[in-house]
Amino acid sequence: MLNKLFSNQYLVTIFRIIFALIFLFAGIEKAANPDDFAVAISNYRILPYFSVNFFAIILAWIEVIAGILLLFGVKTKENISLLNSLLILFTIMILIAVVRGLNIDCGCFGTKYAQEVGLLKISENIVTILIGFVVYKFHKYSIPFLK
Amino acid sequence: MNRTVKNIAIIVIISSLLGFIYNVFNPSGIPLIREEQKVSYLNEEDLHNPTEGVEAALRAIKVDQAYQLYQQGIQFIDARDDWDFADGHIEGAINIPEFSFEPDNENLKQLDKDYRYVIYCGGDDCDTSKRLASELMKLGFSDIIIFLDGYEVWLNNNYPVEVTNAE
Repeated sequence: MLNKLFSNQYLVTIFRIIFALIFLFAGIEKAANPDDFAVAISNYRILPYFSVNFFAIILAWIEVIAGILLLFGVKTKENISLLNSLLILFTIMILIAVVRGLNIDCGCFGTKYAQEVGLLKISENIVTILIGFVVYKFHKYSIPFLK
Repeated sequence: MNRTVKNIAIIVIISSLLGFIYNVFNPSGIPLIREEQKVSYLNEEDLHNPTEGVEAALRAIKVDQAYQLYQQGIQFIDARDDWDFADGHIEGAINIPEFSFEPDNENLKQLDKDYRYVIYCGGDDCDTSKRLASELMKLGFSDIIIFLDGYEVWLNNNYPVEVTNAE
């Protein structure tokens, strides 16, 4: 029954666009300020310190490129899988930070739009993950703007 | 290998390559391997001599030396955010949160760049004070010292602290 609701072309396409824009925006902010993003990553104290710059560059640019491709509906299944998996991973990291009592900025949209790690942030992410999941499951229905 | 997985791998690789290339040409690009800022601890002599402009490492002190400087009336700077500061800080310290640091910060403008300052943050393994120290030194502050062990150790030693009263 939910299947009927979500197998609507327009709904899935809109979800795809929203999801893509979120990541595109986030990715551009991080790609433009790699040092700030690297610092944000290091605050989680999970990755080895020397590697945070490397990951900062890679993560930011995956978000940008996959975000653009997803926006235009190019290789939708691949890009939604990639981005939603990243989002799930990030959300787990945020949860770990909360459990460890780290009072840090999530680094999700760069330091200009700071958001603290916490249950609110996790909830926001879960909503986005669900949107992503709909796009993934019903990607065949989404309307590509480019092939 | 599954075609979707292969395509994902290609997207990841191409995005990463683009990122590295951009990084090379970006004026605010970053080194691929991030290095810890080196810190060197001052001994008694260094403490009493004004700085010779030693750039190589950040100068740090232990809690007893920090207390000495506190008794001398040296200004302490708390690099943590304003919530932590309000909950409790070293007596007499001012708050310059590294997190939202801007060169035209209000508290900053009132500080004389030639005076000695001691910067601290929450506790050990805390990069915030190192980063704030670097930022201040970039702005021309010539005598910055970091109390690396931070507020936690100061508190454990029962040295003077104060809280900010809610207005």
